Amino acid sequence: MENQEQEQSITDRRWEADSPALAGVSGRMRLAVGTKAVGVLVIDDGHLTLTDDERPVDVTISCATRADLVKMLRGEINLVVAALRGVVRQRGDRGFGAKVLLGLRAGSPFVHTPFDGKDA
Amino acid sequence: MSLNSVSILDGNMFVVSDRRGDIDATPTDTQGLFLDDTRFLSRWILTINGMRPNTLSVDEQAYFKVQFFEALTTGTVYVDSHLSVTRRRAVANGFKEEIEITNHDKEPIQLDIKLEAAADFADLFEVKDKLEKKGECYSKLTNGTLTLGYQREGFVRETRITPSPKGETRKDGLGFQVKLQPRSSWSVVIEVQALARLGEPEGTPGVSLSQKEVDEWVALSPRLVGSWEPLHQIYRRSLVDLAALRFRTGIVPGALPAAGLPWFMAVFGRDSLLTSFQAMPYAPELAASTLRALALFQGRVEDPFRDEEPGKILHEIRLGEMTAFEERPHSPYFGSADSTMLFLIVLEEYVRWTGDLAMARELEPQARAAIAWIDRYGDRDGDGYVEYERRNKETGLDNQCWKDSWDSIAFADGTLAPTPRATCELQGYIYDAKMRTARLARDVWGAAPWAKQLESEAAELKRRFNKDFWIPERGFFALALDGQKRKVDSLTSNIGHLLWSGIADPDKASSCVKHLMSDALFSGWGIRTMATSENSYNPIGYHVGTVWPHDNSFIAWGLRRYGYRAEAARVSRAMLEAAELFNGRLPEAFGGYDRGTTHFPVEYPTACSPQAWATGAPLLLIRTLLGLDSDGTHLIVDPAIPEPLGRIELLDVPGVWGRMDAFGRARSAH
Repeated sequence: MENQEQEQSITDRRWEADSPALAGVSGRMRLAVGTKAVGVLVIDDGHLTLTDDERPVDVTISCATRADLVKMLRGEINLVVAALRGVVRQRGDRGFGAKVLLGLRAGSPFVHTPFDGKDA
Repeated sequence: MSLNSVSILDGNMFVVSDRRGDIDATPTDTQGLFLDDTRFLSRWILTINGMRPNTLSVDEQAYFKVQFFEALTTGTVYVDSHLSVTRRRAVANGFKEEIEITNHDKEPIQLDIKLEAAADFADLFEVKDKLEKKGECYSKLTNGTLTLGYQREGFVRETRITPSPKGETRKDGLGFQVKLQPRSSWSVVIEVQALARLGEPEGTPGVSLSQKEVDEWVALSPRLVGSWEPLHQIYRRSLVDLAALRFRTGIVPGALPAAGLPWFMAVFGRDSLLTSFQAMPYAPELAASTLRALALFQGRVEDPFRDEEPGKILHEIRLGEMTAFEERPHSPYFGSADSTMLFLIVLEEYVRWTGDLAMARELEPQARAAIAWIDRYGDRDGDGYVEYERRNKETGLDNQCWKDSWDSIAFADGTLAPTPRATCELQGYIYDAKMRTARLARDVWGAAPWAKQLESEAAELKRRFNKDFWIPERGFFALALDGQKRKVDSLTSNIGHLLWSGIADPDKASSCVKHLMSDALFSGWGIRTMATSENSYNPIGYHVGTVWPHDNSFIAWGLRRYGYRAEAARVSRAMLEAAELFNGRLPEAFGGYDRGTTHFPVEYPTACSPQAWATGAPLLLIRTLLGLDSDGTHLIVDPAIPEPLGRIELLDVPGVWGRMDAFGRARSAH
C-alpha cells in the first residue's frame, strides 16, 4: 500500500449500512480524490463501513473530484463510462473494485448520506 | 476484411495494414492501429526518396508478428532494383517496427526516408461513417518522441512514436537522411505506444509475446493425430487463432475469447460463451474466465438505455469514445436475449467437464439471478416464452438473437416479423438451461426441491413449445412467434439448435433433420442460415442464406444428440472440407451457393476472420466426430467418422478424469 497525502475525510463520522447488492463481497477499499486519500470503505459480506484508517487495502479508487467520489458512493456513476473518461481510476485488485462499484450502482446505502453536510 | 490487408493482433489490440505494411485509413478501408475500440494510428506510410517501396512478399510469421519484404523498384523489368527493404512488425502494447534498408549496389546512395504518421482516434463505431470528432487532436515533440493525442474532457488517448536511432521528428512523422554505403544496410527501430484508459503504457511495444507462448498454448491442448492430413492444419490453426483472440480484462483472472477481427475485438456474451463451449474439451479455462467476467457484469438494475435488467447477461462491452460519452449504450450493452441461457448452459458444461465444484458454488447467486431473469424479464408478456424487443429505440439492437441483422426474422414471403419476437432457439436454450441448472441445483447446491421445480418447468415448456411452434403443413418448427403470436414460417437453420438443446420431440426432430439435410438448406458445404425456398433467401445475405461454421458445428452436435450420427458426420465432413479450402481457417460466414456450382466455398465479402466461434467450429466438429462427452466422472468416446476422414486420435483430453485419450476410425457402411 502506498502512502497517500491525507486531505479532509469524506465524512466527519463513521457510517455503517447494509447493501444487499454487495452480499458475498468482502474487502477494503481506499477512497481518494486525485492522489489524496479521504477515507476507507470496508465491505464485509454486504455490511459497509465508511471510516478512516491507515490499514492496508485491497484496492484504491481514485476519483477526479470530490463530487465524483460522492456520486460513486451513491451509485450514481457507471463504472465503464467513468473509467473511460478518467473520472475513476483503480489501483490494486480491480476485480474487487469493480464488484463494489457495480454493487453500489445496484443499490447504494449512501444515497441519502449527507457527506460533508453539503453534498446531499 | 479486404483480402489485400494484413492483420496482426494481441487481444483487443491489432494492426491492419496494406501489403506494404502501410496504413492509409479511409472510410471504406479499415486500416490502423486499434486498441479498446479506438484507432490510435490512421496513417503510417513509408517513402524512400519520395517513392513507396513495392511488396515482394509478406511473411505472416505468427498472429502477432509479420515481415514485409519490399524493393524500391524502377517500374521496368530491364533495370534491377538495388535497394531492398524489410519491415518487421510485432504487436503488443502498441507495436514495434524495424525497418532495414540494404544497398545492393556498388555505389553509395543518399536516402531521404520518411514515415508519415497521423492518428484520427476514431471510435470503431465511427470509422465507417467518418464522423466529426468532438474533442481536440494535438501533437507534440519531446526528446525525439512524437506524441499524437486526443482529448475530450477527461477522455485522453495518446500515441507515442519513438525511433531509435533518433531522426528528424516532425509533427506529421519521422524523417531520416542516410548515406548508405555499397553492400551495407541501415536500420531503425520504432516503438509505437498506444495509451488508453489509465493513461500509462502497460509494457514495451512488441515484446510481451513470443512464439514460445503460442507453442505452450498449443502444447497444453490435446494432440491430434489423424489420417486425413488437412485436419492437422485445421486443428492447429484453430488453436493458434483461439490463442490470438484471447482477451484479458484485467479484472478477472485469465483470458476469454474476444469475438472477432476487426469489428468485434471485444467481450461479447454470446460469442464468448459459444466459443467457450466449443473449446471445452481442449481449453476449459476459457470457459472459467468467460463465466467469471460475465458474472461480474451481470445486469443489476433496469436501464432501458443499455437494455439492462437484473440477472441478464451482457451482450457486448465497448471501450471507445462513443461508449464513454454514452452516445452508444455499450457500457455494457445487454441487448442479447440468449446470453443469459447460454451462461447457464456453459456453466453446467464446464462443471461437468472439469469437476470444478468451487466454480459452481461461486456462481450460484448469478445462476439463480439468471433463472429469475428468464422467468421475469425474458418472458415479457407471461406467455411462458422468452421474447425480445429493444427498449433503447435509437441505438439498441432490433434483433437480439444470434441472427442479429435487421432482416433475419422474416416470414416465408419475406415480410419482416413484428416485435416482440420469440425465436425458436431461445426457447430451446431455456429448456436446456433449466435442465442443466437443475442438475447443478441437485448435485452441487443441495437444492433438490428447486431442481425438481426447474425440471418440471422445462418439461412444461417442451410440451407447449412442440405444440405452439410446430408448423404441421411444412413439417418444421417456426422460426419465431411474432408480436402477434403468429408463427414465422421461414425454413431456417435455427431448427438445428433445437436439436442441440433437446427441446424437440423425437418425431418432430426427425422431420427437421430431413429439412436440414435437404437441398434447400444443405448447400453441400454446410447448412444455410435460410433455405433457398424462402423469399428472403440470398446466398450472400448475412443471416438469410450464408453458411455459418459455428451454426453448423452446433447443429452437428445436435444431430449427434438425437442419434443422427451419419447426418452429423456429413455436416462435419463438409465443413472441414470447406476449412481446408480456406487454408485451415473458417471465416465467420461464407456464401450459400450450391456445392455443385463451385469447387470452393464462395467468400462472404465482409466476414470477420479470424472470428472466435468460427475458429471454435472445427473443435466442436472434432468433438462431434469422436462423440466426446463427460458424464461428470468419465470421458465418453462414441465415434462416428465418415470414410474420407479415416482415423482420428485426440490425445490428452483434459477433464475431471485428468488427461485421457480418445480414438475413432471410420467404418464401412453396413
